[in-house]
Amino acid sequence: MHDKSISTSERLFASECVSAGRRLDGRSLTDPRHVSVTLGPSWGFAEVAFDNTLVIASTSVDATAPSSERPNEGVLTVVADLSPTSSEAAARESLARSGHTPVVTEIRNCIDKFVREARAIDTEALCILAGVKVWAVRVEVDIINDDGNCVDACVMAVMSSLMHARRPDVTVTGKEVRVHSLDEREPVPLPVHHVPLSVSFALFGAGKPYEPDMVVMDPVKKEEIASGGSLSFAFNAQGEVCGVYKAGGLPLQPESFVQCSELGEKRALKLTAILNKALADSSAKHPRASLRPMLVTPEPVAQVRSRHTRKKDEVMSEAAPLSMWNATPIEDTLPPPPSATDRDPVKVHAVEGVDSAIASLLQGRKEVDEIVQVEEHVEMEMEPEREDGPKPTEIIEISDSSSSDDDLESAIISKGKGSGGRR
Amino acid sequence: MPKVENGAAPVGLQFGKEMGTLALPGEEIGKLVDTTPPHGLQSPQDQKRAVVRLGSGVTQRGSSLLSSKAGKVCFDGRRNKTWVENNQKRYVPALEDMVIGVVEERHSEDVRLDINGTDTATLSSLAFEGATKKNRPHLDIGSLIYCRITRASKNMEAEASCIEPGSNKSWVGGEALYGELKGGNVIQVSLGLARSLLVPNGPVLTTLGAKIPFQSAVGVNGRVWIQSSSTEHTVLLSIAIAKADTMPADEWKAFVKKMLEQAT
Repeated sequence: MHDKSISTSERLFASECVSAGRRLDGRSLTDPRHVSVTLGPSWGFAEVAFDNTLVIASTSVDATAPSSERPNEGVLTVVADLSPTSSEAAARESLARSGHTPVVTEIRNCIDKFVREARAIDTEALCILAGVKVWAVRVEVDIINDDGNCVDACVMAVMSSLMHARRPDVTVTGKEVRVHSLDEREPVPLPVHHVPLSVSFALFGAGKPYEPDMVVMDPVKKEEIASGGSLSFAFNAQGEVCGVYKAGGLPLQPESFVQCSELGEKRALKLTAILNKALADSSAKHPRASLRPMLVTPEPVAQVRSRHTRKKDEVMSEAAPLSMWNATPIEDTLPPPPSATDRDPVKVHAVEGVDSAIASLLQGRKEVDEIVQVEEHVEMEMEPEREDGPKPTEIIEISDSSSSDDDLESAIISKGKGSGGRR
Repeated sequence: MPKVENGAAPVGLQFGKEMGTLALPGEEIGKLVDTTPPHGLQSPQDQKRAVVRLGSGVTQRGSSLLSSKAGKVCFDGRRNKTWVENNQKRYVPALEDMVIGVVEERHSEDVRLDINGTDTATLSSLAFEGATKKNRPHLDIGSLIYCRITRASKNMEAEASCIEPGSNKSWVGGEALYGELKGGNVIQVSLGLARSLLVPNGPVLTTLGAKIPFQSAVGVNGRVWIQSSSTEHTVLLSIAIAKADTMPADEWKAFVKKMLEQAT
């Protein structure tokens, strides 16, 4: 990342500070900045600020035709954009030509890896009628001000937005799909599987071979520019690694990698707590109890035996909230759904709308099981000496041939696989 | 007649607004008065003084002077200069501004500086006191340059120079006011704070200087360069100066006191 507006002196000073164990803004090397999350007033609007870094995200849901390759899967699209006023580099770039800055490309890659490829949203649960209509979820992220660590802010904004967003309720009756307007039914939350949150580090080489690198958590813009590379981890509330992204040319020492993952896990849990608080606060503004948003439920890894039941309970405890969607009823004549629940629209209560959501959530469980297995496998390899890890019986259940290999490098490789090869 | 604050009364210019009052964009702040011999000033000395200098935020339309932004009307009697001052973040080059630039491009005869504005400024390699074709400073990309703006036009690229009028200190000796700034740290502050830091014996730099010895260069383009004997001190100074942008004066003093106590 080359930023012309930064002088050599500033760059050297940033590195000098890190070598001296200090930061440009007075923090210690592993201190994060203050994070604030604001949700609402409309569904799916999130504003995430890491001090001066400000990112907004909004989610919109539309019913569209599915792709022919995946007729029973909804679509999740995340669009990231860098406002020309966010930083000097961005302004320059937008004046010079209409291309994208390297920052945006990196952020897009990260969001894709951490949110879409980690299957934060169960796209199969977004199916309305297989082959005919599915939900298309579109998240738009805008970087309003870039003062470093946009990746974390963007991933958090996307996940906050998805957690807060609602889609209109639908009733499938035989050949008919009815999309209920907000007056009719309260909209339902999106099928969020898990909430991966990213924690990024700027890496500064020690200058000597075989010595651990200096890692800086939550870097500001200048530190990002001065650093030799960056490393981002995505962890969910269960402490599972959902993705790793390494950028920059600096060769990373294994010790530093482990150090980052340990710091990252702790940080991700704190971010989850911040997000949960924001979700709870946003619900407090709504007069009705049924408007409470889903919260991220942290759960020890050992207990993740059957995510089906957990997911069901979680969704059951949340009644469908009041609609703010301007959804228009679709009353097209459609072919009968293969797996839709037949119900009489007159007798349906608001709570029953959730049932259909659960029914659709329970579809295509095979893939979910695979995800859980991969994630647990990764977790075990990451921390082979962990005493209070999963029970032995469960290890047998989910481990495969390579789990005996405790070598750190293979752990890194399988982590990459775990995050990227889930589809 | 406005209250005269800085030296002499305005010549060749009649203010329609009191000094220090708010002017809105498009508002007339004053009129140019004809001072050619049949109308007024006779002596050549007075004639010389009657040149009206327009600073940032003031435009001329016919004989009237209009403000082009919202801000405080200012006048400097020594230079017979008027301008409109406000606090903003975007820098627009103006003549005789002292700025800190970063070398962005190198050419055979000049370098291009990023001066925190919409456009860059050119700095000739010979625009250093005593520089010749054979003996001139080597400026790398990323070097920090303290310089002054010698040409500012809304239609052309600004021009900068490191020659200080009235001084003959060579660029080699390291005593010249303008030139390359080596080491240290740079922070970005609002243009209002940068201007207030340039006021002699201003509260911010004086308070800090009493506690920690340091060198600084302030560019009115919002860049402040700080250098002290240790990294830790430079970090503290950088944070303290940046905080002065948003904190009220008394709160800032308390903050600095607390910060220095914790640091030592």
